[in-house]
Amino acid sequence: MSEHILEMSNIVKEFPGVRALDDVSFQVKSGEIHALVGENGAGKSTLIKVLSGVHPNGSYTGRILVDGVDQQFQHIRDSENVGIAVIYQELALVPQMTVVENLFLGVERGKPYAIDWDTANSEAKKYLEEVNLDISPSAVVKNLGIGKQQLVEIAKAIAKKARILVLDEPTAALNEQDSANLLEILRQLRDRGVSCIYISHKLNEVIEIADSVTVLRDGKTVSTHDMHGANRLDEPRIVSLMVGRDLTERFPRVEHTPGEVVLQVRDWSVQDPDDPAKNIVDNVSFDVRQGEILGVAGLMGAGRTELMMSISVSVAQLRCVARN
Amino acid sequence: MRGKELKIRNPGDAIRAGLAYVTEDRKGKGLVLGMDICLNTSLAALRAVSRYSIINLFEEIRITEQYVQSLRIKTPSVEQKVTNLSGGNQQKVVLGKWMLTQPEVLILDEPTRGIDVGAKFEIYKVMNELVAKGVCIVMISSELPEVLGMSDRVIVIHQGKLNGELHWSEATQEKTMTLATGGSEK
Repeated sequence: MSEHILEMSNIVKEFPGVRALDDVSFQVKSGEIHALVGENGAGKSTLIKVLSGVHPNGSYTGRILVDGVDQQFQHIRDSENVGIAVIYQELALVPQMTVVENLFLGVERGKPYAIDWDTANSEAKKYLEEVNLDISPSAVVKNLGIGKQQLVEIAKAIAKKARILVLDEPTAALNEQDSANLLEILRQLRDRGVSCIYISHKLNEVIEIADSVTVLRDGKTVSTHDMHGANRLDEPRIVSLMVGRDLTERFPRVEHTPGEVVLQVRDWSVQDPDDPAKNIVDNVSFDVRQGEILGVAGLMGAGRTELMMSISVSVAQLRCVARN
Repeated sequence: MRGKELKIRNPGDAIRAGLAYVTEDRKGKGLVLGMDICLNTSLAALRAVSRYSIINLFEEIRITEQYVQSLRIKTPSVEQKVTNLSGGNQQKVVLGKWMLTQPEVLILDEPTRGIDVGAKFEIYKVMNELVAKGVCIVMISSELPEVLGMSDRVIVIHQGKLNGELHWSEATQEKTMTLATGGSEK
């Protein structure tokens, strides 16, 4: 039949006042890692929500074909039944429960009136092995590091017989070693025929791992590229595809003449409340002058809001000093 | 701040020091949706409408009407609940609320998220008017054209670290995005 395991064609999704997806078409071959890149708000998450049934059939127009068969997902469960699993940035594990309880949450092993823990545990071991995770199935999830939790999520997807695995910014919260480990596991899964849709802002990872790249911009597909052919993309090309629009919106630019420095921020750091070893804002210094507009750019989650909020609404424990 | 070291322990300290932060989450943190425009506007600066710790309701209405007019907030009256306003007009109410605190540094977090083009343009104009009066504006934005179109200088944050500063004349979308994804200027 078709070489594509997944075909989404002419997807249009509108929210009041905005067209989040405008005639997006997207194809994934079976057994490939397909990266989906784009700026904040380009439509990546909306596309995934359409694919997974979070936005049910009827709330968008267009077609979704899995293995060439038309699909009309009403619920997340419908998409799971054909083998689509989505792993979001905020993990969906229950922290207080054990690994095995999480793995089979909602699909418990056993009879209707009792859980068969022996079967569950031995099956769990098998799935954990598949993601190279050497932990006990009875470990409590919240005691695992974030990297391991991510792998438990992937094991959970494998347990559901996922054939299309969608990862939304999987390495955003991981350190380099955990990221490398995760990428390695994705490669192994690919070699076993699992297709993977990989959303990431880390372009170096995209180049390292992706077999194809699709770029979205302003709710439209810009292009899809084969990363093995002669036309493979490098980082600057991807960046220019991501932003390559003209400045069509008009801005009332007025020349300002910045005066004296009003606010000086020096060596500003903010601890991550979830992980005291990490700083969400790390040693930032900047000045603001009288009568100027200072823009703060960056991707979502870069720490911009935390930086500004900590300055203006700062918490007593923050040992931060703003000084001249 | 102007050469003085600030010790900010709570939002009140920040307001008194001349800082104002307009949140990106206007419905959750920026406004009390069930209250009217008037009460929302005065919320961060009750002192401006009070005397001897008693709120002067006439003064409150008078000041709110001024802001409704100058910010061109479209509403039948200042007693309209903000939940009934459109996103753009809600954003203007939050902006008015913080302008009333007379800040020296106004921090805007995604000031035009989810509002229509016309309201965006009006908010840009208000920003320029404030700057002309000597207020400093720090604008966080994920929309590159907006950052590049409005700012005099742009600083780019990547994973909690400052990854570069660009003057508006040299800032292009490509350069900014490269810095935002962790690349270097060269």
